[in-house]
Order: sequence, then C-alpha cells, then structure tokens
Amino acid sequence: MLNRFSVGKSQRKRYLFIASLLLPVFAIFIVVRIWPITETFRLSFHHYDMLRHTETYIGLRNYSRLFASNDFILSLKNTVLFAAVTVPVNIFFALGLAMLLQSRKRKIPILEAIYFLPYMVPLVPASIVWKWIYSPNGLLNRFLETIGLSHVAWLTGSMALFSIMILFVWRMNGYLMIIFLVGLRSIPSIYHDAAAVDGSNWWQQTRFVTLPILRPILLYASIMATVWAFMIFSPVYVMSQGSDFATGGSVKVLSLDIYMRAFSYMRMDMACTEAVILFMIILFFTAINLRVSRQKSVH
Amino acid sequence: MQRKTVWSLVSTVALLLVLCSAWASFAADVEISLWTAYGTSGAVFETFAEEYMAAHPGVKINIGIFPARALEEKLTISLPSGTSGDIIEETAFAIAPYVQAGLIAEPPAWVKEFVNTSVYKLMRQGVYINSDLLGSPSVAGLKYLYWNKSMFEEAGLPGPPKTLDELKDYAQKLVQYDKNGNVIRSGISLRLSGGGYGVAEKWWMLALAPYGGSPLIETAPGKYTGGFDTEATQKAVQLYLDLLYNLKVDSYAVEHGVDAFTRETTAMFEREGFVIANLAKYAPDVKYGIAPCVGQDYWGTLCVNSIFMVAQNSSHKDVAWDFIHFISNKQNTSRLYEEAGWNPVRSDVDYSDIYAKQPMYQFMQDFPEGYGAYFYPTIVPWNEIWIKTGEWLATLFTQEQLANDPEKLAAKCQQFNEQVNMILDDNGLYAPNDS
Repeated sequence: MLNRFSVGKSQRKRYLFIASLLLPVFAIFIVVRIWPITETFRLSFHHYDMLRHTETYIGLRNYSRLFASNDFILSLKNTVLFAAVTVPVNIFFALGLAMLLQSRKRKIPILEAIYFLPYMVPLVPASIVWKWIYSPNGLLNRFLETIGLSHVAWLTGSMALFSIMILFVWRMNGYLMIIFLVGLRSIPSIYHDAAAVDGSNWWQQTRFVTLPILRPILLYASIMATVWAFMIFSPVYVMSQGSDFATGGSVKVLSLDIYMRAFSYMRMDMACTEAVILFMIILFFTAINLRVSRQKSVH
Repeated sequence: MQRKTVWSLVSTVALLLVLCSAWASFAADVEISLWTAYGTSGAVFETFAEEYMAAHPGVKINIGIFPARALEEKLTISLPSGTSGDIIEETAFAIAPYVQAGLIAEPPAWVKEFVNTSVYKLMRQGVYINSDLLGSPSVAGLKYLYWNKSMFEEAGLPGPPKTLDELKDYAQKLVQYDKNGNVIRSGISLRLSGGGYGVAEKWWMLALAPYGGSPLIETAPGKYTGGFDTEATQKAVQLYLDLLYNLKVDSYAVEHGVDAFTRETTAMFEREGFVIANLAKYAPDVKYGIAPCVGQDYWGTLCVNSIFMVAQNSSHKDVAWDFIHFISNKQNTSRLYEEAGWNPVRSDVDYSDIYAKQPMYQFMQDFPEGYGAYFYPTIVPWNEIWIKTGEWLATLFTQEQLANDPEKLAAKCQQFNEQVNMILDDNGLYAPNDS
C-alpha cells in the first residue's frame, strides 16, 4: 500500500527526468549569474591584485576610498541626474504618444512601427551616428548654420550629458510607447463610456479611469526606465572615446566608472565595490516604485 | 528503429572526425599573433607577415589592430589569463604592471646588443623599466609643431614660434572669426576633449613641460608625490584658459587636431610624425612646415617608444622573437618609416631615399642642440593617474570663470593633487615632498 508521502516508480522516473533536464540550466545559471554576483560582493571587501591573483581582506576600506574619490562622486551625480531627467521624460512622452495614437479613430499601424524603429537600432551604431550628428561639423550644427545661428559644442561640459539624454529618450521611447499602447487597448471601452455618460471630460477620464487601470504597466515602465537609466553605458562609452569632439570624462556615469576601474585602472576590487553600490541604488529606487504603486488595481 | 539510431550516431561521429582531421591538416604547425594599437603600422606589419610566412612555410602570423584604449583593456584580461597575443606592441608605461607581475618574457641577448648599438641614444631610455630591458623598440613617437606656411605668410609672421610667449602672440594674429565673433579658424589647435589620456598628454607637451613642470615629482627612490600643486602646473592650465577665453584663439565649436590641420581650419598644432604621411595622402596641397616643440623654461619633446614584447604565456617565443628580428631589420625599418611615418629607432640606417621622396621626414630627425627628451613614468598606477588627469583637465577647460580667478584655479589644482597622492598612496608609492 502507498502512503501519501511515497512516490510511485513512474513518478520518480518523471521527477528524475525533469531534474536531469533542469540541472544543466541551473548549473549554467549558478555559474554565470549567482557565482559572479556573490564574488562581486565578496571582492568588495578585499584588496585584489588581478595580475597576481592575490587578495587581502580589508573590510570597508574600498567603500571609504570610493566615497573619497571625486570620480565616483561625479559619476554618482551624473547617473542620478540622468535618471531623474530621462525617467519622467520617457514615461511622459511614451504615454502621451500612446494616448495620441489610441485616440485616433482610424489606427495607422505604420506610425507605431516608425516610433518603434529607434528601439530596433542597436545602441552602439546608433551612438556612433549620433556622435557624428553632434560633431562640430555634424548635422545639427550645419542646420544651425543654415538658420543663422552659431555652432554649439554639443558634446562638451554639462551640455554633453543632456545630448546623451536626448539620444537615450529617442531610443527607449518607442518601446515604452508600445507597452503603454498594449495597456490602453486592453482597457474595456465600457469604462470610458460609463465615465462619459457621467459627464467626465477627457482629463477626468484619464485621471480616474485610464491611469488607475494602467497602474501595473506604469509600474513596470517606471522600473524598467529607472534600471535602464542607471545602467546606461554604451552611448556614454562611444561618445567619450576618440579624440576630437568626444565627451571625455565629463559625462562619466557609474557603469562607465566601474568599467574603467576594472579594465583601465586594474582595480577590480574597487569596481566590485562600485557595482555593489549601484546594485543598492537600483534596489532602493525599485523598492520606492513598488511602494508608491502598492495601491490595488481597480480590477 | 534502434539500429537506425545507432547507425545515424556512428555516421555523425565519423563525419565529425573527418572534418576535424581535415581542419587540422589546414592548421599551421606554428601560429602566432601580433597585437598593436597603431593602425598605420599594423597595415605594414601585415605585409611583413606575408613575406615572413612565404619564407617560413608552416608558420602563420595574425596581426590584430585595436584602438589604443581597447588594446589596454584587452591586455588587462588576456595577459593574466594567458590568452593574449604572442607579440604585443605597447609602450613601457602601459606594460609596466604586467612586467612587474612577471607576465612579459625577458628578451633574448640580441635585443640588448641591438638597443646599445643601433638605436638612437635619445630613445634608449624608453625601452627600460629601471634597468630591465622590456623588448625591442619598434618606433618612437616624438612630437613636433606643425605650422601652416600659407597662413603664416598671410599674417606676416617669419616662421614658427619658439617660446610660449611667441605662440600666444602668433596665435592671435593667425586666428579668424565670423561676423558674430566666433572662431572659424583657430590660431593654435588645443586638445580640449576626448577619451583616455590624450588631453593630458597634449597639455603636458604644449604647456606643462615648457613651464618646467612634471605630473609626478620623485621625492625618494621609487616614491613620488603629485606635481599638480606647483606654480608650473597652474601656469600651464592658465595658458589653456587664456588661449580659450581671454585671447580667444581656439574654441570648442571648431575642429581640432589632425582633421583641423588637414582641412586648414587651424594654423598650428603639436603632434607626432605620422601626420606627415596623413597629409601626403589626404591633403597634399597644404603648405606646411614642422618644427621642434615650443619651449619656455624647458625645451624638449615627449618621447614615447613603442616596444615589441613577447608574452610569457606564448608557446612559440622563438618564432615570435624571430619575426620581431625580421621586422626590425634595416630594410623593413625604412619601409615602416616611409609608409607609417612614426620615428624610426635605428640610427644605423641611411634614410636619404625616403627623404628624397618625402622631404618633410628629414625635419623629423633634426634634433637641435639643447633639445631634450622626457619620458612617461613607469609605475603601476600611471594609467589611472594619467586618464584621470585627462578627465580633470577636460572638465577644467570648460570652466570659463577660472580664466581670471587664479585663487580658485590654485584650489582646483591642489584638490586634484590630493586625489593623485591618494592613488599613489593606495599603491605604496607616495612620499610627501619635504623640500
């Protein structure tokens, strides 16, 4: 007789089969995800010589050195500023664009495809093209010249960070727009019809019907936009390379600083420390997003 | 069904074995690779590799050409993991950490003899770290002042400036503005922005060295302090701010460097000899001259040697050194000079054929009496210090308010010097200057 905790032979075979298929996946996951993450945390408390592969435990010294470093403070300021501007701008424009497209009686799918196109362009070639657009004799300055204005040094000083923000919003907006469009189209028209019958205007419908229903999508979009903004790397790296009209270090962000510490300065231990701090920052803002959106969905 | 499965497995394995043995038969007996960051030299090395392979069947040589910063970053991972190229062409200061970690092979005896008998005396220091010979020098990058003869003639100037005071004066006479007062042709092209340490290097050669300054001051054997809180540094930064904001002879909104000189949107700039080959190819009609770097309290040039080194992990060191020996012979040295334009290192070669084809090259070897050379420090954290210097300067140059505020500028220099001292201290290299 089988008790309720014993497993039949055929079921055991099935579990073994499932385990044998999942084991390689878990093994790969541990090797490429879990182990590097735990090593990153561990190395942040050590002085690590990456050429001789020796390490010495030093407690929190890497953290105190990092906070005393002007580069880290500059990178932190730039990254927070970058996120503070691009996240609301991305959300606002993407939602606005989606609502505009949704409001049309006659839908034009080609318009949606055009707005989504920038997201399909790989970030590195897009950054190279934008670098040329921003160059002293690039498209933008030539346009300014034709309308009688002076050239602008788009990739210099504080202007450089805003130039990269423009590129970033241009690229990410299409994706967020599609996400919001899907959300808008899933709202049953009965809610808007009922609101209209009650005498609500467009703004009231948006505020009391559309936005609350879109809350889970807004949460997803804001978390993704925040993570992307804090993880920004490729455009900054591409724009800061080279000699003429390259931004140099003025637009250093956390991910680029981590990269430079690891591969240019050979300070893998400091790079790990900074990666831990970046992780904590993203976790913090994600937690805030979740808390703000804790209100139950109207469904 | 089972028989079919077994047969299909057997035939797949057999096919794989055949393919592997076929691939193995195409593989060379010896395969080595050379990594370089110099695109113009790399193209010539590919020709040399073909000639060497033709003379040595069974040897395959791959030439890898990478952007300068990318090569440095590649070496960080590949040398410690034993996956780097066999031959690496790099500078002493970039390779110093790897030498100290024992990742670069000691050169054979012929290299020492080559350096002592056949290499220009001016360039010899750059292939050593302390007294350890790193490898065989390939080319050198001495710096020159390029000046546009037509623009100088137009401005009524007799020739290139010799001092920084003359440079400031000449630049004001050479600059051109549009109707809104914006610079459209710079009087002197400054390196104001860019990745890596390019900004720092050009500032050192144009401003800091002529004012007698140095980024690091050796306070005890093997110990240093930052040199950024000195009067020379402040004068060097002030020079750039004056040129940009007070004299307005350059601007962020115009082109800079080689491109600007090629397109004649600048009257002069300082750079290495490769520009000559560049101008011959892309702007043969530009009338220009080359002159020694501008001096003031010190007169000389930064000398950056590129060196062929062999990685400790190379399993074909003998072939690697033999190929280096082949590239470094008299004939190939001449060819490299003619096609790439970097300073040749061999003093025992007659370059008159090359001078006949390209007279500008003759000026490259003209070292006047009293003209000196200075080299990069070869300490482990140098890359970090120098890249951060470039970033610090690039930010500083954008701050117009500092142009007429010497106290604030001094404070900025002091603050950065403390950052440099922190890096030195982290690496056990710091000792304060007690003098």
